[in-house]
Amino acid sequence: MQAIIEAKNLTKHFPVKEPLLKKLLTKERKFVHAVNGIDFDIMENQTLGLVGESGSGKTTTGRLCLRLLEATKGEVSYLGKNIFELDKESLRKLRKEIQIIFQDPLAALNPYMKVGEAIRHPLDIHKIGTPKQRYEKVLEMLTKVNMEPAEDFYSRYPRELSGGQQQRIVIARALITEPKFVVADEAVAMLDVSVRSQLLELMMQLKKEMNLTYLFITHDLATTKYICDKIAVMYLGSIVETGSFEEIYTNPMHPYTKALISAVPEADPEKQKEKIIPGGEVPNPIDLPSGCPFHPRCSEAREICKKEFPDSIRVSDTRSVRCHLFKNA
Amino acid sequence: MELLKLENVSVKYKTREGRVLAAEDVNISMNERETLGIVGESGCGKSTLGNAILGILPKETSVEGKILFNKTDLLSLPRKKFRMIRGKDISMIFQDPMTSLNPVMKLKHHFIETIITHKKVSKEEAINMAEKALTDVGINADRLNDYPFQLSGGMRQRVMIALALVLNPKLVIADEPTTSLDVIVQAQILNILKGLQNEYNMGMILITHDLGVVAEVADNIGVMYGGHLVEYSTKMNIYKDPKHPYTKALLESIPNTDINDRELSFIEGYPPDLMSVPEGCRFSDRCPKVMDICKSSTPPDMFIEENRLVKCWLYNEGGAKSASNNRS
Repeated sequence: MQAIIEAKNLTKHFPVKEPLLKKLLTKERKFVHAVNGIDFDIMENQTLGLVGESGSGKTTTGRLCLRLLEATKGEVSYLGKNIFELDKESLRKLRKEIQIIFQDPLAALNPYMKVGEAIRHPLDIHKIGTPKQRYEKVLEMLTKVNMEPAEDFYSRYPRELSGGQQQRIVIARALITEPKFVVADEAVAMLDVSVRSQLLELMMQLKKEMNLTYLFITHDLATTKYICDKIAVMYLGSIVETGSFEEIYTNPMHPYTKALISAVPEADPEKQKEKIIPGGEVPNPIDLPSGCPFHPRCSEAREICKKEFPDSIRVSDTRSVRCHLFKNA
Repeated sequence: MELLKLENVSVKYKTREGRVLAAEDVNISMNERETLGIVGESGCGKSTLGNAILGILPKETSVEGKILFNKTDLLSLPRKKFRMIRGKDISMIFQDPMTSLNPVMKLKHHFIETIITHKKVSKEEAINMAEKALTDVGINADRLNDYPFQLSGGMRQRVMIALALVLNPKLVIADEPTTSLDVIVQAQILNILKGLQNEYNMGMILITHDLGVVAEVADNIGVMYGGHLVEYSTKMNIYKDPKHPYTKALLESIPNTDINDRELSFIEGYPPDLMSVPEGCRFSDRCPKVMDICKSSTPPDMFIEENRLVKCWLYNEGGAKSASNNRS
């Protein structure tokens, strides 16, 4: 099996906007440390779930994987090529093969563009096929996302559709250039439960049919079970733990993962569990805590956690954890 | 003791495109100190119901039926009298704390305004009360001089809770109080809400789309779909023995964390458009057990046990009479 995406020491720091006078007077620049040296890879036909709270850097990571943002440090390789070294022309060609599904479908669709035109747009940009072929391809795609009769939906406007249908259009548009790698950034978070599962099912089915590889970004741990082969948990710009859903859910190792899992409300009054709620709030990513980013809130923090950033410890073939507690294990 | 009772409450919004029947013939009641969860998807009418109880719907909206709070019908109260109840005896926690707090007002002025409207106290006393309320939700009292933007999302929501509870209301309506928050912060907020509810003996209506949240907090649950209250019962009944096909399907479609259960189930189709509601049962076009009658007439509220309501023709054995009476 081949790695589609490989991220090495991927880092993104955003400069903080400051008034001009302050800029002139002080040399020191402040940065938001959104992503801090993360490594991961995604194998062909696999789905990696990136889980974390808001501000953990998961969306930034997704955008870096598509080079929608330039990295501060580190690299992302797509099929062995570092995408940050590509020139404009090769990057434009690459855009066909890497795509993104956004969270808010109404914001992602142009309100003045008919549904069919929106889906056709990527084909126009990349000059794929004749107009007739493009039209047929759009109809085929509409059918694939279960928007039937396709001819009827082709000439509708986004506002005439429900949230779930709009998201199907966004998916169709992302997949029409037959990409290999798709980033789904909270793709189902805005939808109601009954519709959310429909869309997850559709994404799984399309993955099989079209041989897709997903990076599935979500704050909802429970949905990753259905769609992800592997999960990476992010906290303050670092990946603190990776593993399969079973491993992470039944035996979380990192204290943050433990807290995160215990906080997920269980939709079953008989299965209520003991909650481990860490004190305080997520620190400001401008001034990261020294050492392990979780140590100020961690109940098991020791001296070393304040000083040293923990290494990633490989626990098994599929699992690793970044925590000083497991140094000797 | 019964705190709140809704009798045949219907709410119609007026819009340029026509009338929207956001809630129809809702019957539900709750006792003092009880937590009532109202769950449903977006557009099912759950927030409309909360706003109707608080009397904060747009002026042109027509609200029919009776909303009895401590046996007084809120809908027949003159506006001035209603104002004295709203904020004092019934208060509300909204979903988005940033839009509910005034960005150019310090926190203490939010509190002073609320307290002085309803109580004859001096500013100093009001600030003392505010300090206590803030400490109750775990925020240092000296933050009263801060502006809302200086707080994190979780802290803002705690301020909203403090503001809602400062006058010791009998009923607090929490409309999606944790929806915009992360899970860990959500757990913190739910803990605070539960703790304070016990301390102050309040009744609470928790409006949410999240079946996980109500499973933790609520005593009784009402499930809404397309403007109808389709099922109402105790928490255990709803989760362990749901009767309405919608409740069943909804519970099955929630992603659970049971690692042996990998099947994803879902409900085909989309919720109805309240602008042009289908004839009969609102769920009929998505229901796996649909019958002929479901498409032609709306099922009546049927009490299949005491305190257990189902609005579905499947449970009509022997109840046909009451149904026909209801329709005529």
